[in-house]
Amino acid sequence: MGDYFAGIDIGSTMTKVVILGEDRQTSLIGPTGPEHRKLANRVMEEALGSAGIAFADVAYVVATGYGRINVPFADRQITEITCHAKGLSHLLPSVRTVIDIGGQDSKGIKIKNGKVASFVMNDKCAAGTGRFLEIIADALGVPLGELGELSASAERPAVISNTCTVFAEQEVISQIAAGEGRTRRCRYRRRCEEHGSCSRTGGETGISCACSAGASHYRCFRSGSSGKRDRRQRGKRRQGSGETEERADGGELLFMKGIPSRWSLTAACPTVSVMVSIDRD
Amino acid sequence: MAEARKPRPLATQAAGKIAKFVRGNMAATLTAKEEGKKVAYAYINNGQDEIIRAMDIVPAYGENFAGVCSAKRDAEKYLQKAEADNFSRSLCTYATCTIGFDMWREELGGEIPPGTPWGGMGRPNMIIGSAQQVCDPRIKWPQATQHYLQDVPVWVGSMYYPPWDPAVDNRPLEKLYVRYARQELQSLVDFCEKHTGNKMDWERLWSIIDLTEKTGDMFIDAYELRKAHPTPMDTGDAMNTMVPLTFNLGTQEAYDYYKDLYDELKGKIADRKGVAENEKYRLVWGAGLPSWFALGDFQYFNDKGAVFPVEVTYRNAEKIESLDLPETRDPLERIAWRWVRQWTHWYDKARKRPGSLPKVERIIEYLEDYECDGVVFHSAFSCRSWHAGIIQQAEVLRKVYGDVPVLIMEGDIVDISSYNEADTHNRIDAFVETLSAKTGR
Repeated sequence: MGDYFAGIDIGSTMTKVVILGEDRQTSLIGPTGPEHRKLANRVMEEALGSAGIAFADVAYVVATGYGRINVPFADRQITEITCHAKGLSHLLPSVRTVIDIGGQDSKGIKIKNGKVASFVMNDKCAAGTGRFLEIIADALGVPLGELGELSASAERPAVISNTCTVFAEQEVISQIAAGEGRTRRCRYRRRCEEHGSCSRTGGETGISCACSAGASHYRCFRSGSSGKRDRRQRGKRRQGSGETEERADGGELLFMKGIPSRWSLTAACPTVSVMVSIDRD
Repeated sequence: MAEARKPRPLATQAAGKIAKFVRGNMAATLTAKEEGKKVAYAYINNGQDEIIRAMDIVPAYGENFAGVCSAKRDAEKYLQKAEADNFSRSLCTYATCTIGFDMWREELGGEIPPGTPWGGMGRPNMIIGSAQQVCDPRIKWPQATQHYLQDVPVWVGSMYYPPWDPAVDNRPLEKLYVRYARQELQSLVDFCEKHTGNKMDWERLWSIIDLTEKTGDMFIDAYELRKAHPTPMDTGDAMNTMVPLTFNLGTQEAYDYYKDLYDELKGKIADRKGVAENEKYRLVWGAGLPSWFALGDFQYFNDKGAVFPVEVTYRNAEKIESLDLPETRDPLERIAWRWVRQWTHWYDKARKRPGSLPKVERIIEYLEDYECDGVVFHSAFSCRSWHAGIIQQAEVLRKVYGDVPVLIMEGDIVDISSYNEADTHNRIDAFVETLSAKTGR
């Protein structure tokens, strides 16, 4: 039996592989294509090559993500909900709630004793998902990777009122056409923070919350943003978010404390919805 | 064109007989004219079935027709028809599917549109509406239908019952509601007499009431056998076996059906035949109509060792003795008392548990009686009047009873465009993992 363990996450947008062993840790990430089985084999081979080991050296493989059933060599398929809970409980044991903003859905996950106690999902609408970010970045002509920094640096954001991805895109395009956004800086804000509400899965004062998946890399999600509203809410935000922690892979994870005592959410769509603004200067 | 779909395997033989039942009901609406009978559009769970049967009127249920269209994945053409006449997709899709069918049939001079699932429904002679107690669209649905069937008379009743208020004792109010319901039922009798030309046979009505109550008791007796481990029948089947109670109440066939089901379940229990090969998790179907086009999702649960020994949906009967009905010689008053008590008999329990709700008490009772591990709700997009309260029920359940695993699925009853199989299965997978984490099984 081998000494290594592998995890493969075939998400709706991106595919990730991690190989772990006592002496090494290898990971790779790339876009998910249409042929999941071929993709699974290919990325696994690449990861093995990168780690310099053979498949026989891997003792156990877990597949997750929407494409998990298409990983023929996996020993077990586990939903990304459980994987998020397990992973975050390991990395950040105090975390009780996870907000997972994925490529095609968003989820709120409540953790108890390191296990999933409950979860809610928004899988009916692109609002509040990574797809929203991709579409808006495209509309603004901004590389996806720069979106977060630009968002945080916008000083006079224009409000986009629609939460629907399609209508928000139309609104962004209309504002650009109206000459509003010459510098075209965009800004995102966690709606959960603005409304003091986040997810039905939370509920206790002082619980900790982590933002996970691709969107957690965006600075705007991690640390809030500037502007008029920020000044008004500064006190709240300092109490509410402020801290980040280093993730095992070197990335940052949002780590919020003091979430309002009563989180409530009435509709699925804005679970972790974001608002886009265009700088007017 | 309808998508070919493999039918869901059924655990009971009784469930397998339902297609014949439904076909028979729909065919009866088409042959009624030849038999000299009148057809009435009716709406389920109405308190009026016994009167309709006693007057020899053939009921035609839009909810049944739309459900068949949905299960056959052949509702889209009717939904589009209604939508083309400005009926929103966010309206009840039972209503819009049936109205679309009505519109089309009228355009064809009363002929059934070609390709209609299972022959469709005959043109009604009257519409007997039943509003308020189940859903708000049913107040306007009959009138919207009459817009296309202008010569068809409409009667709409409400059958109110005391609303839930933890601070108010509903018992002193019951008599008022019973009196009101009785008057409504009398008005329905008058309406039926006028439009059939027949007089009500009150003795016959009494015998139908007796048969209805006997059927309800047998239904409950059969369903309570599902408490067994492993459960011999789950909600996937119950979405079929509800048909006689829902659409054939007051008929001997309905009683016989549940007697057969009772016998079959007894046999399964004796043989220890369960729904799932390896029953690991027992769940309450807490609320919500199912996606008729995706009943295979119950099988998906079953394949993971999760079964539903009990459901709130379509369990529209209680043991008569548990309702403690006052004696009366008036058949309409008997129906009214049964109606009011059936909807309010959870109130006392809810009052005893601060912060609870009657609907939540019902779920708690099922969790305990059927030894269940979690609750699943289905929020059907177009059925807002029932599904709007699901999140509240889930929250209150957790608050007053503890951290019970809860899954809220999303879809629709008829409109397939609101359903995503991959996402639904993903939710089920994650929920089963949650159950596993919670129970250690």
